[in-house]
Amino acid sequence: MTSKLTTDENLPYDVIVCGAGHAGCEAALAASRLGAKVLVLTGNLDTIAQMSCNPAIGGQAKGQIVREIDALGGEMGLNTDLSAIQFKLLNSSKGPAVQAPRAQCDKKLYQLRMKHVLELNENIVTFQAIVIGLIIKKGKCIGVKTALGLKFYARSVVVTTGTFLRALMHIGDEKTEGGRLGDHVATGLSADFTKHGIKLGRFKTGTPPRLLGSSINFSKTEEQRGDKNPTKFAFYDTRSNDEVFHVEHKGRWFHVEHPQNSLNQVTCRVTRTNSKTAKLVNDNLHLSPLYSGNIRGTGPRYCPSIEDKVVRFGENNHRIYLEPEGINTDEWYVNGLSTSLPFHIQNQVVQSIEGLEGAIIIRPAYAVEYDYAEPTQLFRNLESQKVESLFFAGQINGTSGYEEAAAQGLVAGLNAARKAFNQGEVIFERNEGYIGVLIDDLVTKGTTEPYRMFTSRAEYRLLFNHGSAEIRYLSKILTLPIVNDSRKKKIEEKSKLISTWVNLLKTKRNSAGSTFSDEIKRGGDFKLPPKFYELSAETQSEIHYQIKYEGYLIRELKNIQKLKNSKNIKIPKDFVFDKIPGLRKECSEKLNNIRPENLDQANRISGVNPSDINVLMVILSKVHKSL
Amino acid sequence: MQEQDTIISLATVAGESAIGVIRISGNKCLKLCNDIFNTPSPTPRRSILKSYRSLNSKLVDQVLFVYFDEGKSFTGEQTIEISFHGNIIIANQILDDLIIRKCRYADPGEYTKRAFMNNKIDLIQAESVAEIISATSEIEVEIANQQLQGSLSKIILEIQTNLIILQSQFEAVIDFPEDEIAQSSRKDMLKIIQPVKTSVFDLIETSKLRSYLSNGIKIPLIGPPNVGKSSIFNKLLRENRTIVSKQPGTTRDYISRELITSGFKIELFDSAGVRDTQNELELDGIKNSIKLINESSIVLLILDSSLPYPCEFFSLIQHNIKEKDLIIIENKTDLKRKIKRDQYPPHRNIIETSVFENNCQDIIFNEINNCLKNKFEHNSLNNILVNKRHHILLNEALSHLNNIENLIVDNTNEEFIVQEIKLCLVSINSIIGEKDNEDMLDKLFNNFCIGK
Repeated sequence: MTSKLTTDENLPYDVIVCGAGHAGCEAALAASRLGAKVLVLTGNLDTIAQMSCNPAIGGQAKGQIVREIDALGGEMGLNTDLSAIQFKLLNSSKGPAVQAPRAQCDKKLYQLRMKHVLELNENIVTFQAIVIGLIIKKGKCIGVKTALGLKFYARSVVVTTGTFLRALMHIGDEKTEGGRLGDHVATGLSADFTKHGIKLGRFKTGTPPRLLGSSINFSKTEEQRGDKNPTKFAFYDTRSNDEVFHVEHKGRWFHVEHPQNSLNQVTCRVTRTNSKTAKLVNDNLHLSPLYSGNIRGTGPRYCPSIEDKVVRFGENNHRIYLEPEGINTDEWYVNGLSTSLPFHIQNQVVQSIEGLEGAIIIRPAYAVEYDYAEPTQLFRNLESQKVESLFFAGQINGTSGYEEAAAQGLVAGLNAARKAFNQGEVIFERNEGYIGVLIDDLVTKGTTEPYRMFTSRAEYRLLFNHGSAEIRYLSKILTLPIVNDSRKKKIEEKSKLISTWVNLLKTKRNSAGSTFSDEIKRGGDFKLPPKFYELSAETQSEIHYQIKYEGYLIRELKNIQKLKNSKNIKIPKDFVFDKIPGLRKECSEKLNNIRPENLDQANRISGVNPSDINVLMVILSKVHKSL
Repeated sequence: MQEQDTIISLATVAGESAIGVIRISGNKCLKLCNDIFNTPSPTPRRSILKSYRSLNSKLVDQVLFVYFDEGKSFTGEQTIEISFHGNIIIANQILDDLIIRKCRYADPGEYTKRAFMNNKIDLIQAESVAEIISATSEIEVEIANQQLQGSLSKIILEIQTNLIILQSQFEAVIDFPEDEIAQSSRKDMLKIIQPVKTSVFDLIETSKLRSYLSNGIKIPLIGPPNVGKSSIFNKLLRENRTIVSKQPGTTRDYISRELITSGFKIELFDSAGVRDTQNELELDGIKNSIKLINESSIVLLILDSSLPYPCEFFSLIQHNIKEKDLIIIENKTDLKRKIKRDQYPPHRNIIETSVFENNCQDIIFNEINNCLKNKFEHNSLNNILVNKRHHILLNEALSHLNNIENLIVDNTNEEFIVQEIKLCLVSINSIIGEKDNEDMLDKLFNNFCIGK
């Protein structure tokens, strides 16, 4: 039976999710998979899973995250595959560990399908309402207030409000309140958070102008095609056809083609800025709120505005990608030209670029400043340290990117549901994958700019090849009801098959007397046992990778082992750091803020030195003895 | 478990002091009493005067040591405290020797931690002791910092920075495949590594200087036959053990003695007189003397001031003394002076004396001490006392650097090169402390325009 919309305090939802962006959708879906009754509140039903910026999913480190989300039962991978209009495997010439899938998506299709996924989910109710405050009782969040005056109650609340908190958009001197062009601003929540001791910071991000395709002279631009053999985000070798089409089969109105059949990939285009562009930017720098001092929030270094690029790197020749926003629209995204210059300057800047001389801007570029809640105030299950049963996920935590948001949504959704059911938390470890790195970085180190995942952030990058996501999260897949039994069984079988084959190829010798693994490492022409070629392509490539790079992978595994010891020394949640006489004040403040859950995490906090760790160890071992 | 290790540390501040104390804790202590002091069953809590001999049975110092039984020491483990003459060279020599004997340096606060683990202190004590731990560790950190101050930390920091820059070059290519990364050619990458390798190599070399300081600075007495080398040698040692005769060429081989002067351990050599001769036995002795000059950096040239300038002598050794610090001792000032100084080699100090003068040895030692101080204390290399632990880590780093070079030359994928760079950084970080990944990202974003 489908859940009902109810404001009854005595019949609370298990989980309320505030926001239905990439974090909110995954949070709601993850909670629903555990059986939670979920209410999703969004300011606008038409912007569910909206791609506010780039119409693409994946890319380096992000593509790997999406595959991890897919391994953990998340929807983002399937939704991308089914709405993609161009696939590209990045770093395809390098080793598997740093290859990353990326896809251009049909923006509207992506949204519509995700909306329909929510609609069809029997555990989820979606309702359009702006959340203006939290209902908190005895330090515990029990519900939310909406602008309509309606109150909703739940055992756990997940906040995924993205860039909407006290959001202020800038185009030149013009300032408009709102989290996205044409959308509202969330004002009440910020004050509510502050009231309950949650510290807020301010970040800035930006988006480029959108152009009308028919006004672009594509002949003057370079073509960029997708891959002939697309690399998908979802794992199909462990899924039945029914699972792939879970929306399409049940939906009455919604239908998309299977991406593996008849995919007409679109082409993207590449052009470049020139000295004219640079001069325009330089001459009008004083009109940019980034340089006039109007914007105080910190922006991301990896996604600089054209102002920043010209000022900091000077070269006149910056690459600009033109990406279609869908197949039923002629709107084009101008990747690499994010700016907050006044609209008339934006026009001149665009038109200074080859191929864009006559281009018409149909949506101006803008910068947006917004509040984020410092993520070091969260536990590793993404629950607030200040307010019980309140979870945070997505851009509100200071991150950027749809994939980073979705991953947090999944983690927060799972944990919010577990909390509602009085079950233990689900922790993602750094050595499991990028999701673990993401969560740990956020809650342990915090961030000084909108946080984006890079593969360099992962200590064990070589183990995090995108194809191994299901294997890496095997223990979670087996112990949590996040994928159905048939897929669970298939993933388990795949994992066993891989280790059996790896062992076999390492020991079995061919006619020439060398082991198959030696042959694989040497490369060149050789035949493996015929049965090998009967395995699925995914399984084959994983076996191949594990053998070919065995030496490197073993080194990574050894490093993980070293970590395990200090991870085993847990720090109780209510541990009082101030009362430890030997700790320096600066250190106990940091520890109190971040509240590490074990000694290993404490060790990674900047400003906590080895002698502090020793002091902690002494006290903790006494605590453990008395337990 | 780590607790099985026997740990050591300098319990007093590094530097000159009347005495220094080294503390050893762990189950190897009793064996160490036997191995080092030839005292298999020392009476616990009793001071014992012994010679500290290193594993290669060299005398390091006269020391007092106290042994504490298991359960009856601060840590609850077998413990030894060694009091030695307070000077950093002796301290390092003993610490180095203990490392060779399979002990390891204690982590900050580790003694207290062990005391706690062994139930020697309860919670209330532990909490108050926690204060002491952090205080102790501050002293320990200070000691470590002293060593890392100045040149060594500067060099290590530079190595670290260069490695991070190198890493950022590869990371940029890995993480931003859609940006146009103007990556340096692999050849240029090798150019970044070269100076890093040289620095690491040089530091490893300075650890040789350290062993040179630890094992004694060789100072030979060189001169023509019968100028009084052995008499001065004996005078310097204040005892009469070498054969002294008026017949030229009696000291065919050499005789040496170790002694400590102004904190330095030196080894004085009485050598065969150097002259042009056909006598094979004597030639052997002269060869040895020349070899001695080559192996040392300070040389005492003994001349007879009552004879003319010894042309023959100087022409025989002129190539060997070029880069040495020379102290010329014009002996026999009680006789009529004939020698002229105008042909003396440059860079020398001159002492006029006679073995019959009472304070002759003091004048000579004074000059030797000055020379030692100039050479080893005011030399920047002296600050770079690369200890055993650093030495091991630097050797690890060097082997990773060689691997990195090979991987670059072999055109290996970036991600594997980075793994090797990170391993190299682990070794370097163990010397100077870790840098956050943010530092790498800073370098990356400063050097490359990222922005798809």
